[in-house]
Amino acid sequence: MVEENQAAEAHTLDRYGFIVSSDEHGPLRQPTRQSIEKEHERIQKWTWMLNHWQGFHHTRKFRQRVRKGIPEQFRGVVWQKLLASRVLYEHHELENPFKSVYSALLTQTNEEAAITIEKDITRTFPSHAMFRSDNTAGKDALEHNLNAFACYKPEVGYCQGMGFIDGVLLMYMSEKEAFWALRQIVVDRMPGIFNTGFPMLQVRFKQWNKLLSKREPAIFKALARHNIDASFYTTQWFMTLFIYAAPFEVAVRIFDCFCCEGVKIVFRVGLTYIAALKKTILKAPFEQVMVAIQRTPLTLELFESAIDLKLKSAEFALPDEGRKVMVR
Amino acid sequence: MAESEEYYDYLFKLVLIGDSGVGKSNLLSRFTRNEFLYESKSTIGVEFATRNLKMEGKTVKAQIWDTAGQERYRAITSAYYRGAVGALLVFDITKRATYDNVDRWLKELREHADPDIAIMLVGNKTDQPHLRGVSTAEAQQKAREAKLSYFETSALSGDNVEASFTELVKEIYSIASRAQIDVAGSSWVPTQFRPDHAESVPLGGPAKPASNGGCC
Ligand SMILES: Nc1nc2c(ncn2[C@@H]2O[C@H](COP(=O)(O)OP(=O)(O)O)[C@@H](O)[C@H]2O)c(=O)[nH]1
Ligand SMILES: [Mg+2]
Repeated sequence: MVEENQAAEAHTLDRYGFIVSSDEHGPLRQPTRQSIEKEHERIQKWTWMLNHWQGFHHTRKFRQRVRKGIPEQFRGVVWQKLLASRVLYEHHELENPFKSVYSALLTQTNEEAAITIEKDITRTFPSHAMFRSDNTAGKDALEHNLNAFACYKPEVGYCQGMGFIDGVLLMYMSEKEAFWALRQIVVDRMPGIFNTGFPMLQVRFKQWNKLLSKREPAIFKALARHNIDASFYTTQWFMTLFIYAAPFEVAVRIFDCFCCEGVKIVFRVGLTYIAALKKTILKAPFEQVMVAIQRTPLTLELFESAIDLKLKSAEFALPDEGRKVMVR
Repeated sequence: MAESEEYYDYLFKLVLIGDSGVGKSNLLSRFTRNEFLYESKSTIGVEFATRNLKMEGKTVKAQIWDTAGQERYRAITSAYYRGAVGALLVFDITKRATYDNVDRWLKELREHADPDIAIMLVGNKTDQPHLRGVSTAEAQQKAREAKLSYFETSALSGDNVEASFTELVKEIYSIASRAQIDVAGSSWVPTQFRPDHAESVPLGGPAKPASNGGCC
Protein backbone atom coordinates (compact mmCIF):
# COMPACT_ATOMS: atom_id res chain seq x y z
CA MET A 1 0.00 0.00 0.00
CA VAL A 2 2.91 2.28 0.72
CA GLU A 3 4.16 2.29 -2.87
CA GLU A 4 0.62 3.06 -4.00
CA ASN A 5 0.48 6.14 -1.82
CA GLN A 6 3.72 7.58 -3.01
CA ALA A 7 2.53 7.28 -6.57
CA ALA A 8 -0.58 9.30 -5.72
CA GLU A 9 1.13 12.65 -5.95
CA ALA A 10 2.02 12.03 -9.54
CA HIS A 11 -1.56 11.51 -10.68
CA THR A 12 -3.31 14.01 -12.88
CA LEU A 13 -6.61 15.15 -11.38
CA ASP A 14 -9.77 16.24 -13.14
CA ARG A 15 -11.60 19.47 -12.26
CA TYR A 16 -13.45 17.70 -9.44
CA GLY A 17 -10.37 16.18 -7.82
CA PHE A 18 -10.65 12.63 -9.15
CA ILE A 19 -7.66 10.88 -10.58
CA VAL A 20 -7.87 10.98 -14.33
CA SER A 21 -8.45 7.39 -15.49
CA SER A 22 -10.51 6.45 -12.43
CA ASP A 23 -14.11 5.27 -12.79
CA GLU A 24 -15.72 8.42 -11.47
CA HIS A 25 -13.83 10.53 -13.87
CA GLY A 26 -15.89 11.50 -16.92
CA PRO A 27 -14.58 12.46 -20.35
CA LEU A 28 -12.15 15.36 -20.29
CA ARG A 29 -13.79 18.42 -21.77
CA GLN A 30 -11.48 21.03 -23.18
CA PRO A 31 -12.95 24.49 -22.58
CA THR A 32 -13.64 26.44 -25.75
CA ARG A 33 -14.11 30.18 -26.12
CA GLN A 34 -17.86 29.65 -26.37
CA SER A 35 -18.01 27.40 -23.33
CA ILE A 36 -16.07 29.93 -21.26
CA GLU A 37 -18.33 32.77 -22.35
CA LYS A 38 -21.39 30.71 -21.57
CA GLU A 39 -20.01 29.79 -18.17
CA HIS A 40 -19.38 33.45 -17.44
CA GLU A 41 -22.94 34.31 -18.38
CA ARG A 42 -24.26 31.59 -16.08
CA ILE A 43 -22.19 32.87 -13.20
CA GLN A 44 -23.70 36.33 -13.64
CA LYS A 45 -27.22 34.91 -13.69
CA TRP A 46 -26.54 32.87 -10.57
CA THR A 47 -24.99 35.79 -8.75
CA TRP A 48 -28.14 37.72 -9.43
CA MET A 49 -30.34 34.84 -8.28
CA LEU A 50 -28.42 34.44 -5.06
CA ASN A 51 -28.98 38.12 -4.37
CA HIS A 52 -32.68 37.78 -5.12
CA TRP A 53 -33.15 34.39 -3.54
CA GLN A 54 -36.42 34.90 -1.70
CA GLY A 55 -38.35 36.08 -4.69
CA PHE A 56 -36.81 33.75 -7.18
CA HIS A 57 -35.97 30.31 -5.86
CA HIS A 58 -39.41 28.79 -6.33
CA THR A 59 -39.91 30.02 -9.86
CA ARG A 60 -39.94 27.82 -12.95
CA LYS A 61 -37.03 29.74 -14.34
CA PHE A 62 -34.96 28.92 -11.30
CA ARG A 63 -35.76 25.22 -11.58
CA GLN A 64 -34.80 25.28 -15.24
CA ARG A 65 -31.47 26.82 -14.39
CA VAL A 66 -30.82 24.20 -11.73
CA ARG A 67 -31.56 21.56 -14.33
CA LYS A 68 -28.89 23.08 -16.54
CA GLY A 69 -26.44 22.68 -13.69
CA ILE A 70 -25.48 24.92 -10.79
CA PRO A 71 -22.08 26.52 -11.48
CA GLU A 72 -19.29 24.78 -9.56
CA GLN A 73 -18.48 27.89 -7.51
CA PHE A 74 -22.02 28.13 -6.16
CA ARG A 75 -22.91 24.51 -5.65
CA GLY A 76 -22.07 24.36 -1.97
CA VAL A 77 -24.05 27.47 -1.09
CA VAL A 78 -27.04 26.69 -3.31
CA TRP A 79 -27.33 23.10 -2.09
CA GLN A 80 -27.40 24.33 1.50
CA LYS A 81 -30.11 26.84 0.70
CA LEU A 82 -32.21 24.33 -1.20
CA LEU A 83 -31.86 21.69 1.48
CA ALA A 84 -32.69 24.30 4.10
CA SER A 85 -29.64 23.14 5.99
CA ARG A 86 -28.15 26.61 5.94
CA VAL A 87 -30.65 27.82 8.54
CA LEU A 88 -29.91 24.86 10.77
CA TYR A 89 -26.21 25.51 10.44
CA GLU A 90 -26.58 29.16 11.28
CA HIS A 91 -28.83 28.43 14.21
CA HIS A 92 -26.82 25.58 15.73
CA GLU A 93 -23.30 26.63 14.90
CA LEU A 94 -23.15 30.39 14.54
CA GLU A 95 -25.67 31.91 16.92
CA ASN A 96 -23.64 30.90 19.93
CA PRO A 97 -20.06 30.21 18.94
CA PHE A 98 -19.36 28.66 22.32
CA LYS A 99 -22.16 26.15 21.98
CA SER A 100 -21.65 24.37 18.69
CA VAL A 101 -24.03 21.43 18.51
CA TYR A 102 -21.68 19.72 16.08
CA SER A 103 -18.65 20.08 18.32
CA ALA A 104 -20.65 18.60 21.18
CA LEU A 105 -21.59 15.62 19.02
CA LEU A 106 -17.94 15.03 18.23
CA THR A 107 -17.27 14.33 21.90
CA GLN A 108 -19.76 11.42 21.87
CA THR A 109 -19.36 7.95 20.42
CA ASN A 110 -21.71 5.42 18.89
CA GLU A 111 -19.52 2.35 19.24
CA GLU A 112 -21.36 0.09 16.84
CA ALA A 113 -21.50 2.70 14.10
CA ALA A 114 -17.88 3.73 14.57
CA ILE A 115 -16.60 0.24 13.76
CA THR A 116 -18.39 0.13 10.41
CA ILE A 117 -17.62 3.75 9.59
CA GLU A 118 -13.91 3.20 10.09
CA LYS A 119 -13.91 0.40 7.53
CA ASP A 120 -15.66 2.56 4.96
CA ILE A 121 -13.66 5.76 5.06
CA THR A 122 -11.00 4.72 2.55
CA ARG A 123 -13.60 2.81 0.56
CA THR A 124 -15.79 5.82 -0.22
CA PHE A 125 -13.95 7.93 -2.81
CA PRO A 126 -10.70 6.01 -3.15
CA SER A 127 -9.74 7.86 -6.31
CA HIS A 128 -10.49 11.38 -5.10
CA ALA A 129 -7.64 13.58 -3.94
CA MET A 130 -9.43 14.51 -0.69
CA PHE A 131 -10.22 10.98 0.39
CA ARG A 132 -7.31 8.92 -0.79
CA SER A 133 -5.37 6.91 1.74
CA ASP A 134 -2.53 9.45 1.65
CA ASN A 135 -4.69 12.44 2.48
CA THR A 136 -6.05 12.84 5.97
CA ALA A 137 -8.06 16.07 5.90
CA GLY A 138 -10.97 14.85 3.81
CA LYS A 139 -11.01 11.43 5.41
CA ASP A 140 -11.09 12.89 8.91
CA ALA A 141 -13.95 15.22 8.03
CA LEU A 142 -15.90 12.30 6.57
CA GLU A 143 -15.29 10.16 9.61
CA HIS A 144 -16.26 13.01 11.95
CA ASN A 145 -19.45 13.78 10.04
CA LEU A 146 -20.62 10.19 9.96
CA ASN A 147 -19.83 9.55 13.61
CA ALA A 148 -21.49 12.79 14.64
CA PHE A 149 -24.58 11.83 12.70
CA ALA A 150 -24.70 8.36 14.27
CA CYS A 151 -24.76 10.07 17.68
CA TYR A 152 -27.21 12.72 16.56
CA LYS A 153 -29.74 10.14 15.29
CA PRO A 154 -28.96 6.86 17.05
CA GLU A 155 -32.12 5.30 15.57
CA VAL A 156 -30.52 5.70 12.14
CA GLY A 157 -26.92 5.31 13.23
CA TYR A 158 -24.63 4.62 10.32
CA CYS A 159 -25.64 2.87 7.13
CA GLN A 160 -23.28 1.99 4.32
CA GLY A 161 -24.05 4.36 1.48
CA MET A 162 -24.32 7.53 3.56
CA GLY A 163 -20.64 8.18 3.09
CA PHE A 164 -21.04 8.69 -0.64
CA ILE A 165 -23.53 11.49 -0.05
CA ASP A 166 -21.50 13.06 2.71
CA GLY A 167 -18.32 12.82 0.65
CA VAL A 168 -19.87 14.90 -2.12
CA LEU A 169 -21.09 17.47 0.38
CA LEU A 170 -17.59 17.73 1.85
CA MET A 171 -16.16 18.48 -1.58
CA TYR A 172 -18.29 21.62 -1.68
CA MET A 173 -18.57 22.94 1.87
CA SER A 174 -17.02 22.98 5.32
CA GLU A 175 -17.25 20.05 7.70
CA LYS A 176 -19.91 21.66 9.88
CA GLU A 177 -22.00 22.78 6.93
CA ALA A 178 -21.77 19.31 5.43
CA PHE A 179 -23.03 17.79 8.66
CA TRP A 180 -26.23 19.83 8.60
CA ALA A 181 -26.73 19.21 4.90
CA LEU A 182 -26.36 15.49 5.52
CA ARG A 183 -28.86 15.80 8.34
CA GLN A 184 -31.38 17.39 6.02
CA ILE A 185 -30.95 14.75 3.35
CA VAL A 186 -31.14 11.75 5.66
CA VAL A 187 -33.81 13.02 8.01
CA ASP A 188 -35.89 15.32 5.85
CA ARG A 189 -35.44 14.44 2.19
CA MET A 190 -34.98 10.69 2.31
CA PRO A 191 -36.62 9.78 5.62
CA GLY A 192 -36.28 6.12 6.52
CA ILE A 193 -34.03 5.23 3.61
CA PHE A 194 -31.11 4.24 5.84
CA ASN A 195 -33.07 3.02 8.84
CA THR A 196 -32.83 -0.57 10.02
CA GLY A 197 -35.20 -2.75 8.03
CA PHE A 198 -35.02 -0.27 5.14
CA PRO A 199 -38.71 0.64 5.30
CA MET A 200 -38.39 3.45 2.79
CA LEU A 201 -36.28 1.49 0.37
CA GLN A 202 -38.97 -1.19 0.24
CA VAL A 203 -41.50 1.50 -0.66
CA ARG A 204 -39.22 2.80 -3.40
CA PHE A 205 -38.79 -0.69 -4.86
CA LYS A 206 -42.56 -1.04 -5.07
CA GLN A 207 -42.92 2.36 -6.68
CA TRP A 208 -40.13 1.59 -9.09
CA ASN A 209 -41.68 -1.74 -10.12
CA LYS A 210 -45.02 -0.09 -10.63
CA LEU A 211 -43.57 2.70 -12.71
CA LEU A 212 -41.45 0.34 -14.78
CA SER A 213 -44.32 -2.04 -15.47
CA LYS A 214 -46.44 0.87 -16.61
CA ARG A 215 -43.89 2.73 -18.70
CA GLU A 216 -41.76 -0.13 -19.98
CA PRO A 217 -43.84 -3.30 -19.65
CA ALA A 218 -41.58 -5.34 -21.95
CA ILE A 219 -38.50 -4.49 -19.93
CA PHE A 220 -40.34 -5.17 -16.71
CA LYS A 221 -41.34 -8.62 -17.92
CA ALA A 222 -37.87 -9.43 -19.19
CA LEU A 223 -36.28 -8.49 -15.87
CA ALA A 224 -38.86 -10.58 -14.00
CA ARG A 225 -38.13 -13.52 -16.28
CA HIS A 226 -34.45 -13.20 -15.43
CA ASN A 227 -35.28 -12.94 -11.73
CA ILE A 228 -33.51 -9.61 -11.62
CA ASP A 229 -34.92 -8.02 -8.51
CA ALA A 230 -35.23 -4.24 -8.22
CA SER A 231 -33.10 -4.46 -5.08
CA PHE A 232 -30.14 -5.64 -7.18
CA TYR A 233 -29.74 -2.43 -9.11
CA THR A 234 -31.92 0.35 -7.66
CA THR A 235 -30.52 0.12 -4.11
CA GLN A 236 -27.52 2.20 -5.16
CA TRP A 237 -29.74 4.67 -6.96
CA PHE A 238 -32.03 5.40 -4.07
CA MET A 239 -29.41 5.30 -1.35
CA THR A 240 -26.63 7.24 -3.02
CA LEU A 241 -28.54 9.19 -5.68
CA PHE A 242 -26.33 7.61 -8.38
CA ILE A 243 -23.20 8.98 -6.73
CA TYR A 244 -21.94 5.43 -6.18
CA ALA A 245 -21.68 4.52 -9.84
CA ALA A 246 -22.27 7.51 -12.11
CA PRO A 247 -19.41 9.56 -13.54
CA PHE A 248 -18.97 12.46 -11.16
CA GLU A 249 -19.95 15.21 -13.58
CA VAL A 250 -23.31 13.47 -13.96
CA ALA A 251 -23.64 12.69 -10.27
CA VAL A 252 -23.42 16.36 -9.26
CA ARG A 253 -25.99 17.33 -11.88
CA ILE A 254 -28.35 14.72 -10.47
CA PHE A 255 -27.61 16.04 -7.01
CA ASP A 256 -28.45 19.60 -8.15
CA CYS A 257 -31.86 18.38 -9.28
CA PHE A 258 -32.38 16.29 -6.17
CA CYS A 259 -31.84 19.29 -3.90
CA CYS A 260 -34.32 21.31 -5.93
CA GLU A 261 -36.97 18.76 -6.94
CA GLY A 262 -36.47 15.73 -4.73
CA VAL A 263 -36.54 12.02 -5.43
CA LYS A 264 -38.35 12.44 -8.75
CA ILE A 265 -35.00 12.82 -10.44
CA VAL A 266 -33.98 9.32 -9.36
CA PHE A 267 -37.01 7.82 -11.07
CA ARG A 268 -36.49 9.93 -14.16
CA VAL A 269 -32.84 9.03 -14.56
CA GLY A 270 -33.44 5.39 -13.62
CA LEU A 271 -36.21 4.97 -16.15
CA THR A 272 -34.26 6.68 -18.93
CA TYR A 273 -31.20 4.62 -18.14
CA ILE A 274 -33.05 1.31 -18.16
CA ALA A 275 -34.98 2.22 -21.31
CA ALA A 276 -31.70 2.92 -23.11
CA LEU A 277 -30.67 -0.67 -22.38
CA LYS A 278 -33.91 -2.11 -23.73
CA LYS A 279 -32.39 -4.05 -26.60
CA THR A 280 -29.95 -5.87 -24.34
CA ILE A 281 -32.50 -6.48 -21.61
CA LEU A 282 -34.99 -8.01 -24.03
CA LYS A 283 -32.57 -10.12 -26.04
CA ALA A 284 -29.46 -10.96 -24.06
CA PRO A 285 -29.00 -13.78 -21.57
CA PHE A 286 -29.12 -13.12 -17.84
CA GLU A 287 -25.48 -12.36 -17.22
CA GLN A 288 -25.19 -9.88 -20.04
CA VAL A 289 -28.29 -8.11 -18.81
CA MET A 290 -26.90 -7.81 -15.29
CA VAL A 291 -23.56 -6.55 -16.54
CA ALA A 292 -25.23 -4.02 -18.83
CA ILE A 293 -27.34 -2.65 -15.98
CA GLN A 294 -24.40 -2.43 -13.63
CA ARG A 295 -21.63 -1.32 -15.92
CA THR A 296 -23.09 0.91 -18.62
CA PRO A 297 -21.91 4.44 -17.84
CA LEU A 298 -24.60 7.00 -17.19
CA THR A 299 -23.71 9.68 -19.69
CA LEU A 300 -24.39 13.39 -19.52
CA GLU A 301 -26.49 13.08 -22.66
CA LEU A 302 -28.62 10.42 -21.03
CA PHE A 303 -29.06 12.55 -17.93
CA GLU A 304 -30.09 15.52 -20.02
CA SER A 305 -32.69 13.50 -21.85
CA ALA A 306 -34.05 12.29 -18.49
CA ILE A 307 -34.59 15.72 -16.92
CA ASP A 308 -37.76 16.57 -18.77
CA LEU A 309 -39.37 13.16 -18.55
CA LYS A 310 -42.95 13.66 -17.41
CA LEU A 311 -43.82 11.79 -14.25
CA LYS A 312 -46.82 12.13 -12.01
CA SER A 313 -45.77 12.97 -8.48
CA ALA A 314 -48.45 10.64 -7.20
CA GLU A 315 -46.46 7.73 -8.60
CA PHE A 316 -43.83 8.08 -5.96
CA ALA A 317 -45.17 10.39 -3.33
CA LEU A 318 -44.87 9.38 0.27
CA PRO A 319 -47.86 9.77 2.50
CA ASP A 320 -46.36 12.94 3.95
CA GLU A 321 -44.49 14.20 0.92
CA GLY A 322 -45.91 17.03 -1.05
CA ARG A 323 -45.88 19.27 1.94
CA LYS A 324 -43.85 22.29 1.07
CA VAL A 325 -40.47 22.33 2.66
CA MET A 326 -39.65 25.72 4.04
CA VAL A 327 -36.69 27.01 2.12
CA ARG A 328 -34.86 30.06 3.18
CA MET B 1 -8.04 -17.36 -17.15
CA ALA B 2 -11.39 -15.74 -16.73
CA GLU B 3 -12.25 -16.01 -20.42
CA SER B 4 -15.96 -16.52 -20.10
CA GLU B 5 -16.45 -19.11 -22.77
CA GLU B 6 -20.02 -19.43 -23.83
CA TYR B 7 -20.23 -23.15 -23.30
CA TYR B 8 -20.64 -24.83 -19.96
CA ASP B 9 -22.13 -28.05 -18.63
CA TYR B 10 -23.05 -26.79 -15.19
CA LEU B 11 -23.88 -23.40 -13.80
CA PHE B 12 -23.44 -22.90 -10.07
CA LYS B 13 -24.54 -19.78 -8.31
CA LEU B 14 -22.35 -19.09 -5.28
CA VAL B 15 -22.85 -16.29 -2.78
CA LEU B 16 -20.26 -14.46 -0.72
CA ILE B 17 -21.43 -13.56 2.74
CA GLY B 18 -19.85 -12.26 5.93
CA ASP B 19 -19.38 -8.97 7.76
CA SER B 20 -18.41 -5.76 6.05
CA GLY B 21 -14.69 -5.37 5.44
CA VAL B 22 -13.67 -9.02 5.68
CA GLY B 23 -12.56 -9.04 2.05
CA LYS B 24 -15.47 -10.55 0.10
CA SER B 25 -15.17 -8.22 -2.86
CA ASN B 26 -11.43 -8.70 -3.08
CA LEU B 27 -11.74 -12.48 -2.88
CA LEU B 28 -14.13 -12.24 -5.80
CA SER B 29 -11.82 -10.08 -7.89
CA ARG B 30 -8.84 -12.25 -6.98
CA PHE B 31 -10.61 -15.43 -8.03
CA THR B 32 -12.27 -14.15 -11.20
CA ARG B 33 -9.72 -11.63 -12.48
CA ASN B 34 -6.63 -12.36 -10.40
CA GLU B 35 -6.71 -8.80 -9.11
CA PHE B 36 -6.47 -7.20 -5.70
CA LEU B 37 -7.70 -3.63 -5.64
CA TYR B 38 -6.08 -1.40 -3.05
CA GLU B 39 -8.60 1.24 -3.91
CA SER B 40 -12.01 -0.36 -3.96
CA LYS B 41 -15.36 0.96 -2.81
CA SER B 42 -17.60 -0.58 -0.19
CA THR B 43 -20.18 -2.69 -1.98
CA ILE B 44 -23.68 -1.21 -2.23
CA GLY B 45 -26.25 -3.31 -4.05
CA VAL B 46 -25.22 -6.50 -5.79
CA GLU B 47 -22.19 -7.41 -7.86
CA PHE B 48 -21.28 -10.61 -9.54
CA ALA B 49 -18.54 -12.15 -11.63
CA THR B 50 -18.03 -15.54 -13.23
CA ARG B 51 -15.29 -17.98 -13.92
CA ASN B 52 -15.27 -21.33 -15.70
CA LEU B 53 -13.61 -24.35 -14.11
CA LYS B 54 -12.93 -27.83 -15.43
CA MET B 55 -14.16 -30.81 -13.41
CA GLU B 56 -13.66 -34.31 -14.77
CA GLY B 57 -13.70 -33.00 -18.30
CA LYS B 58 -16.87 -31.00 -17.74
CA THR B 59 -17.06 -27.23 -17.73
CA VAL B 60 -18.52 -25.69 -14.63
CA LYS B 61 -19.37 -22.04 -14.66
CA ALA B 62 -19.15 -20.48 -11.22
CA GLN B 63 -21.36 -17.40 -11.00
CA ILE B 64 -20.33 -15.66 -7.82
CA TRP B 65 -22.45 -12.99 -6.15
CA ASP B 66 -21.29 -10.34 -3.74
CA THR B 67 -23.20 -7.78 -1.71
CA ALA B 68 -22.97 -5.35 1.22
CA GLY B 69 -22.07 -6.94 4.53
CA GLN B 70 -23.62 -4.55 7.02
CA GLU B 71 -26.24 -6.19 9.18
CA ARG B 72 -29.13 -3.99 8.13
CA TYR B 73 -28.65 -4.88 4.46
CA ARG B 74 -30.00 -8.31 5.24
CA ALA B 75 -33.44 -6.75 4.99
CA ILE B 76 -33.15 -6.74 1.20
CA THR B 77 -31.05 -9.78 0.44
CA SER B 78 -33.58 -12.58 0.23
CA ALA B 79 -33.59 -12.40 -3.58
CA TYR B 80 -29.81 -12.58 -3.43
CA TYR B 81 -29.88 -16.12 -2.07
CA ARG B 82 -32.40 -17.39 -4.61
CA GLY B 83 -30.99 -20.36 -6.48
CA ALA B 84 -27.62 -20.32 -4.74
CA VAL B 85 -26.05 -23.78 -4.41
CA GLY B 86 -22.96 -22.69 -2.52
CA ALA B 87 -21.91 -20.04 -0.02
CA LEU B 88 -18.53 -18.77 1.09
CA LEU B 89 -18.97 -17.46 4.60
CA VAL B 90 -16.01 -15.16 5.07
CA PHE B 91 -14.56 -13.70 8.26
CA ASP B 92 -11.40 -11.71 8.90
CA ILE B 93 -8.83 -13.63 10.97
CA THR B 94 -7.55 -10.32 12.34
CA LYS B 95 -10.98 -9.17 13.55
CA ARG B 96 -12.47 -11.35 16.23
CA ALA B 97 -15.90 -9.74 15.94
CA THR B 98 -16.28 -10.92 12.35
CA TYR B 99 -15.66 -14.47 13.52
CA ASP B 100 -18.12 -14.15 16.38
CA ASN B 101 -20.74 -13.24 13.80
CA VAL B 102 -20.35 -16.48 11.85
CA ASP B 103 -23.23 -18.08 13.71
CA ARG B 104 -25.52 -15.24 12.75
CA TRP B 105 -24.60 -15.68 9.13
CA LEU B 106 -25.30 -19.41 9.37
CA LYS B 107 -28.70 -18.57 10.77
CA GLU B 108 -29.24 -16.15 7.90
CA LEU B 109 -28.47 -18.94 5.43
CA ARG B 110 -30.84 -21.32 7.16
CA GLU B 111 -33.59 -18.73 6.87
CA HIS B 112 -33.07 -17.58 3.32
CA ALA B 113 -31.07 -20.11 1.36
CA ASP B 114 -31.81 -23.58 0.04
CA PRO B 115 -31.47 -26.12 2.87
CA ASP B 116 -29.00 -28.13 0.76
CA ILE B 117 -26.67 -25.21 0.08
CA ALA B 118 -22.99 -26.16 0.40
CA ILE B 119 -21.23 -23.84 2.82
CA MET B 120 -17.54 -23.16 3.23
CA LEU B 121 -16.09 -21.15 6.08
CA VAL B 122 -13.25 -18.89 4.96
CA GLY B 123 -10.81 -17.05 7.23
CA ASN B 124 -9.31 -14.25 5.14
CA LYS B 125 -6.24 -11.97 5.49
CA THR B 126 -3.63 -14.60 6.40
CA ASP B 127 -1.01 -12.18 5.09
CA GLN B 128 -1.34 -10.44 8.48
CA PRO B 129 -0.34 -13.23 10.87
CA HIS B 130 0.92 -10.72 13.46
CA LEU B 131 -2.63 -9.36 13.81
CA ARG B 132 -4.34 -12.71 14.04
CA GLY B 133 -7.22 -12.80 16.50
CA VAL B 134 -8.68 -16.19 15.63
CA SER B 135 -6.57 -19.33 15.64
CA THR B 136 -6.75 -21.86 12.85
CA ALA B 137 -7.56 -24.67 15.29
CA GLU B 138 -10.44 -22.74 16.76
CA ALA B 139 -12.01 -21.98 13.41
CA GLN B 140 -11.48 -25.56 12.27
CA GLN B 141 -13.31 -26.72 15.35
CA LYS B 142 -16.27 -24.47 14.65
CA ALA B 143 -16.36 -25.64 11.04
CA ARG B 144 -16.31 -29.28 12.10
CA GLU B 145 -19.18 -28.75 14.49
CA ALA B 146 -21.26 -27.07 11.82
CA LYS B 147 -20.16 -29.65 9.23
CA LEU B 148 -18.51 -27.09 6.99
CA SER B 149 -15.16 -27.19 5.33
CA TYR B 150 -12.67 -24.52 6.38
CA PHE B 151 -10.07 -22.63 4.37
CA GLU B 152 -7.74 -19.78 5.22
CA THR B 153 -6.99 -17.32 2.44
CA SER B 154 -5.38 -14.05 1.56
CA ALA B 155 -7.05 -12.08 -1.19
CA LEU B 156 -4.05 -9.77 -1.04
CA SER B 157 -1.33 -12.37 -1.71
CA GLY B 158 -3.71 -14.70 -3.51
CA ASP B 159 -2.83 -17.50 -1.14
CA ASN B 160 -5.37 -20.34 -1.13
CA VAL B 161 -8.03 -18.31 -2.93
CA GLU B 162 -8.04 -20.60 -5.92
CA ALA B 163 -8.05 -23.66 -3.71
CA SER B 164 -10.99 -22.56 -1.59
CA PHE B 165 -13.31 -21.65 -4.44
CA THR B 166 -12.32 -24.77 -6.36
CA GLU B 167 -12.95 -26.96 -3.36
CA LEU B 168 -16.43 -25.56 -2.88
CA VAL B 169 -17.23 -26.00 -6.56
CA LYS B 170 -15.90 -29.54 -6.39
CA GLU B 171 -18.16 -30.34 -3.45
CA ILE B 172 -21.19 -29.05 -5.28
CA TYR B 173 -20.14 -30.78 -8.47
CA SER B 174 -19.97 -34.13 -6.80
CA ILE B 175 -23.47 -33.69 -5.42
CA ALA B 176 -24.76 -32.49 -8.76
CA SER B 177 -23.20 -35.25 -10.80
CA ARG B 178 -24.39 -37.86 -8.30
CA ALA B 179 -27.89 -36.48 -8.53
CA GLN B 180 -27.66 -36.93 -12.24
CA ILE B 181 -26.46 -40.53 -11.98
CA ASP B 182 -29.14 -41.41 -9.45
CA VAL B 183 -31.73 -40.91 -12.10
CA ALA B 184 -29.71 -42.58 -14.85
CA GLY B 185 -31.75 -43.18 -17.91
CA SER B 186 -33.85 -40.13 -17.58
CA SER B 187 -32.32 -36.85 -18.58
CA TRP B 188 -33.43 -35.23 -15.38
CA VAL B 189 -31.04 -32.78 -13.83
CA PRO B 190 -31.98 -30.88 -10.70
CA THR B 191 -33.24 -27.55 -11.89
CA GLN B 192 -30.67 -25.58 -10.03
CA PHE B 193 -27.85 -27.38 -11.82
CA ARG B 194 -29.29 -27.17 -15.29
CA PRO B 195 -27.21 -25.27 -17.78
CA ASP B 196 -29.55 -22.99 -19.56
CA HIS B 197 -27.92 -21.36 -22.50
CA ALA B 198 -30.94 -19.97 -24.21
CA GLU B 199 -32.08 -18.01 -21.26
CA SER B 200 -29.51 -18.63 -18.63
CA VAL B 201 -31.86 -18.33 -15.72
CA PRO B 202 -29.63 -17.60 -12.73
CA LEU B 203 -30.20 -21.13 -11.48
CA GLY B 204 -33.28 -19.79 -9.80
CA GLY B 205 -34.69 -23.07 -8.50
CA PRO B 206 -37.84 -23.99 -10.36
CA ALA B 207 -37.92 -20.49 -11.75
CA LYS B 208 -41.28 -19.13 -10.76
CA PRO B 209 -42.24 -18.07 -14.24
CA ALA B 210 -44.63 -15.30 -13.42
CA SER B 211 -42.80 -14.01 -10.39
CA ASN B 212 -43.08 -10.29 -10.56
CA GLY B 213 -39.35 -9.86 -10.24
CA GLY B 214 -40.42 -7.29 -7.81
CA CYS B 215 -39.31 -6.72 -4.36
CA CYS B 216 -39.17 -9.21 -1.65
N1 LIG C 1 -4.23 -7.44 4.33
C1 LIG C 1 -5.31 -7.80 3.66
N2 LIG C 1 -6.28 -6.90 3.42
C2 LIG C 1 -7.37 -7.31 2.72
C3 LIG C 1 -7.51 -8.64 2.24
N3 LIG C 1 -8.70 -8.73 1.60
C4 LIG C 1 -9.26 -7.50 1.67
N4 LIG C 1 -8.47 -6.65 2.35
C5 LIG C 1 -8.74 -5.22 2.67
O1 LIG C 1 -9.85 -5.18 3.54
C6 LIG C 1 -10.71 -4.12 3.20
C7 LIG C 1 -12.08 -4.66 2.88
O2 LIG C 1 -12.03 -5.44 1.71
P1 LIG C 1 -13.33 -5.69 0.81
O3 LIG C 1 -12.97 -6.70 -0.22
O4 LIG C 1 -13.87 -4.39 0.34
O5 LIG C 1 -14.31 -6.32 1.92
P2 LIG C 1 -15.88 -6.64 1.85
O6 LIG C 1 -16.57 -5.52 2.56
O7 LIG C 1 -16.05 -7.93 2.59
O8 LIG C 1 -16.25 -6.75 0.42
C8 LIG C 1 -10.06 -3.39 2.04
O9 LIG C 1 -9.37 -2.30 2.54
C9 LIG C 1 -9.12 -4.40 1.45
O10 LIG C 1 -7.99 -3.79 0.89
C10 LIG C 1 -6.45 -9.57 2.50
O11 LIG C 1 -6.46 -10.75 2.14
N5 LIG C 1 -5.39 -9.09 3.22
MG1 LIG D 1 -17.65 -5.67 -0.64
